Amino acid sequence: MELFWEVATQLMEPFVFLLILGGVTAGLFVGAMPGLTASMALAVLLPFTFKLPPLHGLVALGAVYMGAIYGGSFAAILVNTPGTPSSIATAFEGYPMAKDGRALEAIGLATVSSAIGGLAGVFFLLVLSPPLARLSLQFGSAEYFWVAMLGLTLIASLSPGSTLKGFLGGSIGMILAAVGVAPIGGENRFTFGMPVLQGGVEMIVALIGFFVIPELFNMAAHGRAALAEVTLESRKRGTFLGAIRTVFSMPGNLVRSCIIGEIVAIIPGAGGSIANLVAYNEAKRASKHPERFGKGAVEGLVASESSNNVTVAGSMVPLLTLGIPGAPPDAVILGVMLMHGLRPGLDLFTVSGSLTYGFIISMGLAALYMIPVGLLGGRLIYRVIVKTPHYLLVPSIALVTILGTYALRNSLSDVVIMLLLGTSGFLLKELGVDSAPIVLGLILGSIAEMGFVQTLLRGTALEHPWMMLFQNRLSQIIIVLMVLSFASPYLSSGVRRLKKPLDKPPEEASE
Amino acid sequence: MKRAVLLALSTLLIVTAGIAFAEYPDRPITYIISFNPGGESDITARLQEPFLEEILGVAVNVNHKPGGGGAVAWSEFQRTAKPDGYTVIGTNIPHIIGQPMLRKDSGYETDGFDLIMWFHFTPNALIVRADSPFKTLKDFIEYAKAHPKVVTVGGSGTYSANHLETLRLEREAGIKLTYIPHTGTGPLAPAILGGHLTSLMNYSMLPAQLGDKVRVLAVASEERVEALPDAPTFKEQGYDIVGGAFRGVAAPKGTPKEIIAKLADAFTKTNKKIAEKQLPLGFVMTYATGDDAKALVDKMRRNYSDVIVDIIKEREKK
Amino acid sequence: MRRPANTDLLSGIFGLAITGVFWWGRGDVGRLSIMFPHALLFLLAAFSVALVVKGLVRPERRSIFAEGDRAKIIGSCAILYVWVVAIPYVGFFLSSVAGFWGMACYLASSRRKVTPLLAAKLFCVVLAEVTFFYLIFAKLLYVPLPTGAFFQ
Repeated sequence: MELFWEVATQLMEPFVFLLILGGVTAGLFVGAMPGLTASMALAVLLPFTFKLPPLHGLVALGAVYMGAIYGGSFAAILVNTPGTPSSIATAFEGYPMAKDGRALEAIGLATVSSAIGGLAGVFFLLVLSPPLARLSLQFGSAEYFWVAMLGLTLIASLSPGSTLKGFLGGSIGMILAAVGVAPIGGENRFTFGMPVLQGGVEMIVALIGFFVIPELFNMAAHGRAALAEVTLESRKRGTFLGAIRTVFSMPGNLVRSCIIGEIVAIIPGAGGSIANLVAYNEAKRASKHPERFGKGAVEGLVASESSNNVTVAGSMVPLLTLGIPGAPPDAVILGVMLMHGLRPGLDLFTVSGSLTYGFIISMGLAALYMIPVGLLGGRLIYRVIVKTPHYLLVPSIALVTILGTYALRNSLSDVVIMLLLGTSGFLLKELGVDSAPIVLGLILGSIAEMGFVQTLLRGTALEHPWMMLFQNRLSQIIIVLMVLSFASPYLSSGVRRLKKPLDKPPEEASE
Repeated sequence: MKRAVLLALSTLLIVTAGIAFAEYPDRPITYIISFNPGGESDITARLQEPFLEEILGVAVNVNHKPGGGGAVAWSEFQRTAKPDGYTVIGTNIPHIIGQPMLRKDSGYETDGFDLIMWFHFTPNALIVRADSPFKTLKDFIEYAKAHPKVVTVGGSGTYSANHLETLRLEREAGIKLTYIPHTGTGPLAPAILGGHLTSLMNYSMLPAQLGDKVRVLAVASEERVEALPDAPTFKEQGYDIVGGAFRGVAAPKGTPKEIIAKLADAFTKTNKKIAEKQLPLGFVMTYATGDDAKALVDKMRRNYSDVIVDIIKEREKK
Repeated sequence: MRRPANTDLLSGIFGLAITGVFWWGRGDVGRLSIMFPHALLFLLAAFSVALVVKGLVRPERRSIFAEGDRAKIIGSCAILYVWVVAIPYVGFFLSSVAGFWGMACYLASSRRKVTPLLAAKLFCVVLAEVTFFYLIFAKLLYVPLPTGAFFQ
């Protein structure tokens, strides 16, 4: 109880309030700009946090992190470009909504879902850390490989046209991920004699290219920005109360997405970029109207945005208990903690309890502050985008894209790669090969390669090294999930044909 | 009016004269880190930044150019950076020794830098989980002798300090291990704590951070590391293995000597200031500047050359 | 004039072309570095061939590039490439002002006549916007923007 009051008084300070508010706002801006990532924002902030007391430094970093993951949804909804890889699925539904004049509704839903997701992550972190940390240690190289394979089954539902073309896109993404120094083996491949390609195709560079460039060309071709004026209906639904009502009308979806977000978050290296896609996919499979997905289904938007904000506090579970950074921004936070002499582990929750709990709860506050900041900021950004004539909007987006891509690794070559990938993405899209599976392949390609080769190496002493892939219980569970996930579209259509609708679709089991 | 013109002219004169005779440094210095934010190199640079700014009196801007285990930034630096002292880059041993020897198209040369300083050293350490049956290095080596290739050793990266040290342990002890590279230090903690690997060959920071969850069988330093007083060195246990990663900073080839000296001085003073923060984390501070810095590269190159030659031979066989 | 294209066949051929390029670019590397990419190339080839076969047997025909003004796509694409390629030569600031302004005038011409007055107005907007972002990135975030023959 004493601890509680200590934490509460710390967080009541007006300075802390301003830190969180400022952090969330800055994070929102960073997240909304394609190319500016949460980890980059945190890195820029680092020197300032060294001048602050540890708690204030961590609070600022946590707030920026939370805001950035949420801010990615603005770009996704308004210009069909995920601002961070954590909002890829948000674009699938948010953008069609905005095109229908439902932009404000989409922003309101994203805001409320993000805040709920952020709070859920804090809840998991406060209550379930020890068991979740133990679970996260179960993931070894073989499990990583199978998780990546499980992720690839999403391709089937991410490619609305031909599944075959989706898999072609997925393979293209995976081969792009293989460019550069081999993660294992250490030699250069696919560098075509250019030293700069050693660095490979950075996932966010490809993400920007594949999503922004085709959209720019579309706007140029149509001679107008794609957003429609907001309808009165949407304005009503976009208010705080309206959005709350919609979001809480789907409690199953919300709970499912938060749990998915948490599980993905504790797998080190996965993070929000995978969580939002998995949650989206599950929402689609559980929906009574999967045919509405891709055309502005609110369930998909809510699933994506709630799950990705769970990962912010969620990935702190392995970080605070074991010192394992689950996502790149976590590495920065770990660095700050170590520099302040805070060693992750049990001591963190007991000896420096008021600091740790203060940090955790401040993330919850950050999630709450997102609501006013986001609703106001969202309206503002929306107005700017709608009022700008297309001949200024298109080059403006191009400018921000070029800057963001460059700033990611301070590399002009990345900008050229982004343009080339974007142009090919545009051509491929016309041929029916969608960008989403390509980007998914890029995200999962290196995880799959690491897992596969590491597992074979671990099995060097076995007679058949590949047996190592199937040995662990967790691997076997993931394999079963994968088969279920792959077969479920066929299963459920079979079930429907039997005309015996079940109360719960069979794929619920795969949660 | 006349006075105003005169004033403007004289200001202009003073400003131009200032540019001509200004003492280095008179504008911001860019400090490039060739790894991701949050890594050891980045955190160190962030710690150094305020002290460097105070000593040099100009802004020091840290920015990142990650990729290819550092090679992307190093190759571009050697190709494009101007030798005027306003751009410096973080460098690492053994990366800058191993990569140009072992990779095609690495795009840079080990000796293509003007080294300013090596400011710290993180020795390799052989680590097992706290409940591992291997209590000492002897247990470990005996088991590995009896069971070739069964013992897995995780480390950060291929041909990294961790990898080369594992190969050297194999040579020195006459054993066969299975080295498993990971991307960076991050994924190693769950791999060892989750029991997915038998052991780790990683830098001294990891055991300092994981505390009593792991046991250090041996550290590859001359003397025991301050943060790990109970961890014996390889030398104490009869193996002449000393190695790890050195981090430092370099300027482009051809930078004037006085500028290098000035920067070396600033980094030395900074290093003394940040030592109290870095020592408990498992770092060993070093102060190699000037000829010492070059000598260190040559020494480490000799040190690792036999292992690297082995790797190249092995590769050509295939 | 516009016949629907056989998208299966075309994307299959595209896939085969990528397979070819990457097969040729593997480089001479060891087993560990290449085993996974080999598997990927095999998959890529398999999906491509499957698409080619489907394209020959039961093609999906669709008109491509049918929507909107194709000339505007090619035009803005060209401006974008020139913009980026010019950055290392004339520096970020100048090439962005030129690229931005060029693209704005070019796209505006589809809706209205670009009078000198409009062009001048656009130039002011462009200058302000590029300066704004330039300041944020170069001075606030310390991103070293590429310098060219002039300044940044």
